[in-house]
Amino acid sequence: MVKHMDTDYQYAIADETGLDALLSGQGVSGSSTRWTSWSKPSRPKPGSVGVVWLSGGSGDIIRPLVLIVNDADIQRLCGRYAQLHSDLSPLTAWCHLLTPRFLDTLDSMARTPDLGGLEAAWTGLTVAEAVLLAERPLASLRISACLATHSFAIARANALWSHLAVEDITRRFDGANRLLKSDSLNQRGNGRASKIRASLQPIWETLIAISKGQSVYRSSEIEPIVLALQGLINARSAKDPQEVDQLIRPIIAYVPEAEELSQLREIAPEGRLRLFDKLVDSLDKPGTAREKVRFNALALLAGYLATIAAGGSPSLTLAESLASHWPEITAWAYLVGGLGEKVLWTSSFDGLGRLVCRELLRPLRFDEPPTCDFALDEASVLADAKLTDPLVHLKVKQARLLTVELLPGVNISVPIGESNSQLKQEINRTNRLPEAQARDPLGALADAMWPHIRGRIDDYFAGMQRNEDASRDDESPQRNRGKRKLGPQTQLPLKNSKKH
Amino acid sequence: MATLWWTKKEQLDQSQIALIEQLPLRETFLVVGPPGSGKTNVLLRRAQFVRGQNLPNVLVLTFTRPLTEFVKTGCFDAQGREIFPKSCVTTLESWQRTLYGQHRATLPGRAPTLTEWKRQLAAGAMGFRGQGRIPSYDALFVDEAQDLLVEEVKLISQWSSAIFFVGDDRQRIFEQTEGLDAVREVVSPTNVRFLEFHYRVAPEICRVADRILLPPNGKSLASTEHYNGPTPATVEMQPQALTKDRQLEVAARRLQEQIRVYGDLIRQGDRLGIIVARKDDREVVFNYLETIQALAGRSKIIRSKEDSDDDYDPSFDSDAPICILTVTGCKGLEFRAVHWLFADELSHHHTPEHYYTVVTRAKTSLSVYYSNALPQTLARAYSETGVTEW
Repeated sequence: MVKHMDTDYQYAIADETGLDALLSGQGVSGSSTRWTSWSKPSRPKPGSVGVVWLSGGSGDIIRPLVLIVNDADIQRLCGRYAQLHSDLSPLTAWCHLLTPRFLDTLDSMARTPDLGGLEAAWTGLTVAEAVLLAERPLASLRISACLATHSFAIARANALWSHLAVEDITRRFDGANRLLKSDSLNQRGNGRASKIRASLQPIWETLIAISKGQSVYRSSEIEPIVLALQGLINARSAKDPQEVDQLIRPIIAYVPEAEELSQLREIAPEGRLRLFDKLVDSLDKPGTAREKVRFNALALLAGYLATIAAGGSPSLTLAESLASHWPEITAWAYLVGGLGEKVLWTSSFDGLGRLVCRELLRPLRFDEPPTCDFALDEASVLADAKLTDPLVHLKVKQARLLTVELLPGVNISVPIGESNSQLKQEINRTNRLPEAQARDPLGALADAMWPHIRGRIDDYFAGMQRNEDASRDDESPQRNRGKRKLGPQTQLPLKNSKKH
Repeated sequence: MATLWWTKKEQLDQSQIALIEQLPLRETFLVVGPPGSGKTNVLLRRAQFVRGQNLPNVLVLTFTRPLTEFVKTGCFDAQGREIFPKSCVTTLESWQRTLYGQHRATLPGRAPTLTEWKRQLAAGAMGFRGQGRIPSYDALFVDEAQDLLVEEVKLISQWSSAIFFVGDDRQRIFEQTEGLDAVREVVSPTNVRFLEFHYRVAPEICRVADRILLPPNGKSLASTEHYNGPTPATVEMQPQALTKDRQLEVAARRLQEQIRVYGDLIRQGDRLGIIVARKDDREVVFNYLETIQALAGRSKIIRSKEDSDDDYDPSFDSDAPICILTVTGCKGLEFRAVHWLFADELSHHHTPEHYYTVVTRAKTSLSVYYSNALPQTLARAYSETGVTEW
């Protein structure tokens, strides 16, 4: 029997009438069965919905915990409740929604994430992606930025549901951002995000391949990288002081320069820097499959070197200084540092590490309410771009950040900036100025364009501020002679300065 | 500013923790230890601890303004929060000048030497305590005690019954001082403590230092090191004489590499040091580095206050991690890499203690450059193969 503490769970298949009663907290009119380890809920037939609830609740009221719905019925289910029972909508704000493909792999009301010992590596990769996207130093990064990355979504999805493909997760991730972010937020930095995503693709595949062992297909492009990382993990597990030998062995045929790394223990930090530069100089856009292996191996080795460049201490600034051109080096550097690491609660990455790891490894409990604002499946049905507020049916109560469930238990942050409703209200306000439009057509044009250019203007002024800071720094030579920096002096109200 | 040298409690060894927390609060102690043994760290942490024991009137006395500024960087935690009042850290001379002001006395006039003037300054302040104008201190903490004059020790002793001296005779920079002998006069022999192990200086550099000055207790620096920094460390004495311009060129090239490879450590408060003998050469070095694009704006002259110095700024600047100083100015400081330029300049003025002090400022990398001949003391101390004895 599936039990949690002293409770057990009931399961029933309901048609629309029965479902209305169940979701309103009333009992089931037909028969229900107990969910036991030998009696799993069966897939609902098309047009019907499975409901799981906790038995023995207070009085006659039952609280539904999980709805099991065929993919084809989600549209009608969510749409119907938004229209006819809006008090219960969105359903996924208070109740889990499962499709049969997730139900089939479920054997209890809780699911424990498993990343095959690569938790720290996935955490590092998540933080790296957040650093790369934000173009900000680690110290100023927030946890929400990490939960808004592809890497987090892929790691969490694989930790909970090992049967999912990377493409499926990234497609849903991109769908959620397209659907919920304002156009200006979506457009901002799109090119850079695409470049970062392309550079991370082989790294995601490599980590998934290591997690799943031989049970998953590995392309020939990542096979040597997988073997190299496995060698490094094994070396660290055995506390081998010459771990670099294990790392380079599977890839040396593709990167002959790696031979020099075998002497790493005798190379001083300045020499390691020269080796790092040599590897980076060898990076070139790959064409053939062999060139792709060489490219990935070079980036991995450069990232590895950045973690030990300062004579065993990390020098991540080396990788970060190349982030705009070769983001994969930063990604590898942040990842490699966590390979083989078992202690996950230290304040790595300026304290972000344990927070990201905590979210990656948080058990998914179906007997507790969801922790998201709503699920993507429901948002896809209820969002309506033609409305003043496209998200009105989702009853958004967050100011700048939504928590959206991409897949069961896989919650990502989606920054919405200025809420869509505010944005639309602003457009409406400018539209209510016909006199201004008639008198000043250029002004009207500016008003109409304002919502679209506002973000860019903000960026421009931020850049101006940075330039001012930089020009202030230009005064440093005087100060750096051991003299105090000369600041701007306000005008004194001197008597003789007045003209009479 | 984030600080690298401010050791976290979990990184302290048992002997350091004992000195901070377990000694009686109202007694005078002398702590002796080699470079990098954590003397200044223990001093500041002890001051913080004592202050928290309902003894708030404490003062930390250092020797020079640059050293004061360096110690002040330890008054902040990694998040930049003040954890010990930086107003409680000052130079010995500044404190004495304040005493003169508070007692409405006139400072002594010019003297033939700086040492002589310092003797007069301390001697002139000797009667202030008896006037009873201001209360004594709950505790005084004195860094670099090996450079104290006997008059200064006596003056300090008047102002508190709980003094915490730290020092190392082998790092004595100022001649004609009595060193730790004067301090031992006011400290009970049972209250002298030793820090045996050190963590800052790499073994390669320890071996050079051990050949400059013999250890007083028979334990060499190399035998007591627990260095946990970047490896391998390097000691480079340039193989032949170079012109000054060429020395600058070679040093600048190395600095460009070091500022990149130690980027993370620099962000945490680490610095690179350029040491010269002559004050004028600090400007020469600074001007040269300013002409190199990758180093422009990244260096700073660290110096003491001079006459007519209205805009004096001795603070350490995290944006300018390359510090340019003189041999005497580097006292008490530490650098990830040290470049000793024009090392044969004024070599006739340098004592073994000077050489020892400069060499042990380097934590991981030491490079020495010279114009005519490598000073004998350094030449004898350097072995390219790293063999300790032959």
